[in-house]
Amino acid sequence: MNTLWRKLAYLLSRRRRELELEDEIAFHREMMVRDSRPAAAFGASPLRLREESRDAWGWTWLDQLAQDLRFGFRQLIRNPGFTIAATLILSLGLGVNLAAFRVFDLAFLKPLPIRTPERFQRFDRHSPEASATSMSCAAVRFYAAHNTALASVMGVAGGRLTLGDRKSAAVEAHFVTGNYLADLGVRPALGRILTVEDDRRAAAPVAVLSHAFWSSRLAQNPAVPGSVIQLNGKPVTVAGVLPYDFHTGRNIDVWLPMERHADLFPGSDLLTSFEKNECQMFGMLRADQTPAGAREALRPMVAALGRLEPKAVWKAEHLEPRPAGSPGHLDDADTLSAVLGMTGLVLLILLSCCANLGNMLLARGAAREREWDVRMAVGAGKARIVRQLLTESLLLGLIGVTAGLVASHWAGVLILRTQAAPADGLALNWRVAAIAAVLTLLSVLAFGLAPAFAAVRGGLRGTRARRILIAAQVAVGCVLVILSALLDRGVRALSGAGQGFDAAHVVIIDPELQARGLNGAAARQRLQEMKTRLQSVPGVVEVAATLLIPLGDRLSVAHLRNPPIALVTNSADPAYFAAMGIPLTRGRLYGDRERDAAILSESTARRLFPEGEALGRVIEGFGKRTVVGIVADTQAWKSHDAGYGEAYTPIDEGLAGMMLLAVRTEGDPADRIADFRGAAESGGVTPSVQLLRNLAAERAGRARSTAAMAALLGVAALALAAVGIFGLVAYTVAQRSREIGIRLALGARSGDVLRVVLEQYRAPLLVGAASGILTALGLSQVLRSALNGLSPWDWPSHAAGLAVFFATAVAAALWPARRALRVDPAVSLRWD
Amino acid sequence: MPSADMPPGTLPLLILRVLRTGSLHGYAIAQRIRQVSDSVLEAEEGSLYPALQRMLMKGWLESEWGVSETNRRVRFYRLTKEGRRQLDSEVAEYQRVNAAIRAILDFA
Repeated sequence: MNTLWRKLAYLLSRRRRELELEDEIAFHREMMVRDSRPAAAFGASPLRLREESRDAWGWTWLDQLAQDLRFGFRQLIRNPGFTIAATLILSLGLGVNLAAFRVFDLAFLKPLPIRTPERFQRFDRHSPEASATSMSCAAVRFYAAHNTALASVMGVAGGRLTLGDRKSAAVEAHFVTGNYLADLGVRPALGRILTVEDDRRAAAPVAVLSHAFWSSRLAQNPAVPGSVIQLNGKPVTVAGVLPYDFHTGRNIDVWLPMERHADLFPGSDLLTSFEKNECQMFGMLRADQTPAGAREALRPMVAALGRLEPKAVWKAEHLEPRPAGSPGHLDDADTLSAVLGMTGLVLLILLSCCANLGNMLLARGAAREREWDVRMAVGAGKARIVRQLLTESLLLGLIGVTAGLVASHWAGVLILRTQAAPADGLALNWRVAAIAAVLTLLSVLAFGLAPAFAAVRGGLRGTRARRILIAAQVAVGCVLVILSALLDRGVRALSGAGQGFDAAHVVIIDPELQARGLNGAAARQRLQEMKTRLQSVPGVVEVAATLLIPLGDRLSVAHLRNPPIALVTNSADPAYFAAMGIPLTRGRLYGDRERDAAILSESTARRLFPEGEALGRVIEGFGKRTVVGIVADTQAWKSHDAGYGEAYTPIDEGLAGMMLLAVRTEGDPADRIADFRGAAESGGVTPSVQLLRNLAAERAGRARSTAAMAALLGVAALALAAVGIFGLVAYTVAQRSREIGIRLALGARSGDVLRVVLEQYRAPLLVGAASGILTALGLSQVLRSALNGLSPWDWPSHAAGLAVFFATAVAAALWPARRALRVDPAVSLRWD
Repeated sequence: MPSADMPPGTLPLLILRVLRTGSLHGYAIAQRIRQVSDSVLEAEEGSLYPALQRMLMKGWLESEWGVSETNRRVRFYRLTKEGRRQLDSEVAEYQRVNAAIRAILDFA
C-alpha cells in the first residue's frame, strides 16, 4: 500500500524527480573524471540510464499510453474520412444497444422513487386452484385495518374520472388507502400529501395531483393547494402536488383517499363488496422480514377474514408476495423471451458494426504495412505495436461511445413515446455507464484485435479474419432484414384489419356501469335507457351494446380443446353487426335472449368445421351453443393466425355492467359528439365518447412505429453489410490489379476476371446467409406477439427479406468488381 | 585481481549491506563496493541508479540531499527500518543458499 502511495507521489512530482536524477548522474560522472576513470564504465548512455531508473517508478506504461494516444489521435485527424465513417458505424452500433438498455433499465431495473423499494411488495391471491393479482377493496381494507404482519399494508384501486366541465378528457385516478403516500415516503412538492384522516367516511373530499397534471392542466399554478376542482361533477379540494419524479410505473393524474370512491361514483359498492376484485394490495416488509416470512405472517389474517366473510376467501388461500419496487419484472416467460430476443437483435447490430469496422481497419492496416515494417526494423517489439493499434482502436471506441450515448438518449425518448410511457427518468445512471463501458471494451476488442495481430504477423495479412468478418456481417444483415420484413407484414396485417368492419361512422361510448355499482338487471336497464336516448339523436342509425370492440384493449378468449383454437368471444346485441357494418353471409342473427346460440366468422367456421357446413353444429367450450349464423371476418383479432377465431354470443346479463355502446351514424359522427355525451349522461356522470376510427388509428400507429423502428434497424444492417462488402471487393480489386492486368493481357475474358475477384467471398456469403436464416427463424418465434397473428413462418416475409438482402449484397460486390474489368494491363503492370 | 561479473540479484544485497554503517551517496556506494571487494566486484554504474530507484520505491531506502566532499549538492541514501529487516532476511537467505552450494562442492 505504501509503495502505491510513493508511486503516486512520484507521479505528481515527476518533473522535479527527473531533474534530481539527472543532477545525481552528472555528479557521478564528474567524480569519475576526477578519479580519472573512463566515463564509458557507465555502460550505457545517460538517456538510457535515466529511462531505466524511471522504470523503477512504475509509470513507463503511462508515458507510452500517452505517446500511443497522441499518435493515434494524429492518425485519426490525418484520415478524417476514415474517422468519420468509423465513428458513425460505431455510434450506430453502440447507440442502438444503449438505447435498448436505457429503456430496459427504466422499465425493469430502476427502482421506483419510493422509500425502501427493496421491501415494497405486491400481494397476490393464491390457492391450489386459482390465483389473481387483484382482490376486493373490502378485503384490502380489512387486512390494512388488522395488520400485525407487515410494516404497512396499502391498497390501490384505479378509476377514470372527468375533470371540470364535461367536455375535457378523462383523468386517471388512483384511489388509495390513507397510509399509501406516507408509507411510500413521498414528500409533497407543494401543499401536503394524503393522510389516514383523509380516508375517513366523514372527512372532507381532498386529492393530490401529479406534477405532470399540475404542469399541463393547471399551468403550475402555485396557489393550487386549497383550491377546489370538479371531479365527476363533485367538488374536491386539492391538498397538494407530488414531486415530478414520483411515479409507480403508470401515468396517474390524481390520487384520492379510497373512501372517496363512494362519493365520486354514487351507488358503487366497490368499497363494501367482497366480490369486486378491483383493488391491488401492496405492503412494506419489516426491515428484517423476508417475503416468505411475510407470506406466513399473513396466513392468520387471511383465515380471520375467511371466518368473517366466507365468500371473500378461497379454499386454502394465501397471499403471495411479489417484488414491486421497480416498474417491471422479468417473472413471466413472455416478457423474458421478449427481452432476450430484443437483446439478441441489438447485439447483432453491434456485432455487424464491429465486423464492418474490423474490416475497415484490416484494409487500412494493409495500407500501413510499410509503417509497421519500419517500426519493427528500428526495434519496436510486436507487443508494442499491438498495444499501439489497440490504443488507436480504444480511441475510436471512446469517440464512438460518446456519440452513441447522445444518440441513445434521443432514440430512447423516441421508443418511450411510441409506447406511450413517461420519458422522464431516462437520465444517465451508473448502470447505463457501466454497460456503455463494457460494450465499448468488448467492441474495441472485437474490431481491434484481429487487425492488430494481422499487422504484426506479416505475410498475407488478415485474409481469414476478413472472411470470417464478412460472414458475420452477412449473417447479421440477413437476420435483421428478414425480421423487419416480418414485422412490416405484421403491421400490414393489422392495418388490413379495418377492412372487415366500417370504423368511419361509429362512436364508442363507455358508460363504466360496473365501476358505478351497476350490475346485472340494473345495468341492463340503464343500458336500455341510454340506447333509447341515443336512438333519438338525429343521424343515429343503430345503437348496440357490446363487450368487445375490434382493436380494443379488452379481450375475452375461450380456449377450445379440439381443434386447439383460441376463440375471441364477444357478447353483443344482434344489432351490433349492423352497427359495425359486419355483413351476415349465411344463416341468421341470434335473438336477444337466445342463450344457447352463437355466430362465427367465416374463417373461424372453416377452421372449426373444415369438412362441411357449420350452421346448426354445436360448439362446446363456452357453454354448449348452436351455430345459427356466419358473418364476415373483422380481421381484428389475430385472424391471420390459424390458432385464433372469432365468435359472437347474445349478451349475458351478468356481463351487462361491463358493456360498451357502439353507435352508428349517417354522417360524420365527429360533428355530434356533444349530442352523444348529453344523451349518454346518466346519474350525473358523463361517460367517455370516442370515435372508433381514432381508436383504430391510435392502435395502428403504435404498431406502425414499432415496425418503423424494426425497418430502420433492417436498413441500417443492410447498409452496413453493403458498405462492408463494397469496401472489401474494392480493396481486393486494388490489391490484385497487377494480377488482373496479367490475366487480361494473357487473354482472360471478363467472366474469368470477375470470378477471380469474387470467388473468395462466395463461401463466407453462403455460410453467413445460412446461419442468418436459421437465427432469423429462431428469433421470429420470440417476436410472435408483435406480429398481430402473422405466422412466424410466414414465407413471403422470409423470401422478401432474403431477396432484398441478396440483391443488395450482389450489387455491393459487382459495383467495385467492374473496375477490375477496366484495368488496363499496360498501366497496371507499370505500377510499382 | 581482475573484476568478476556480479551474480544476478546480489546488487541490492550489497547496497543494503554497504549502507548499514551510515548514509552514502551513489558514487560512494559504488566505490565502497569496489574497495571492500578488492576490485573483484564492480557495481556497474549503469545498473546502480535503477536499482537505487527501485529500492526507494520499495521503501528499503530513504534519501536526503546533502553536500559531498567536493562541496557539491548530492543525494545521500540511508537504510530504513524496513531496509534493515530486508538486509537481515537477505543475508540469512544468502548464507543458507551459500552453505548448500558449499556442501555440494565439498561432497563432490
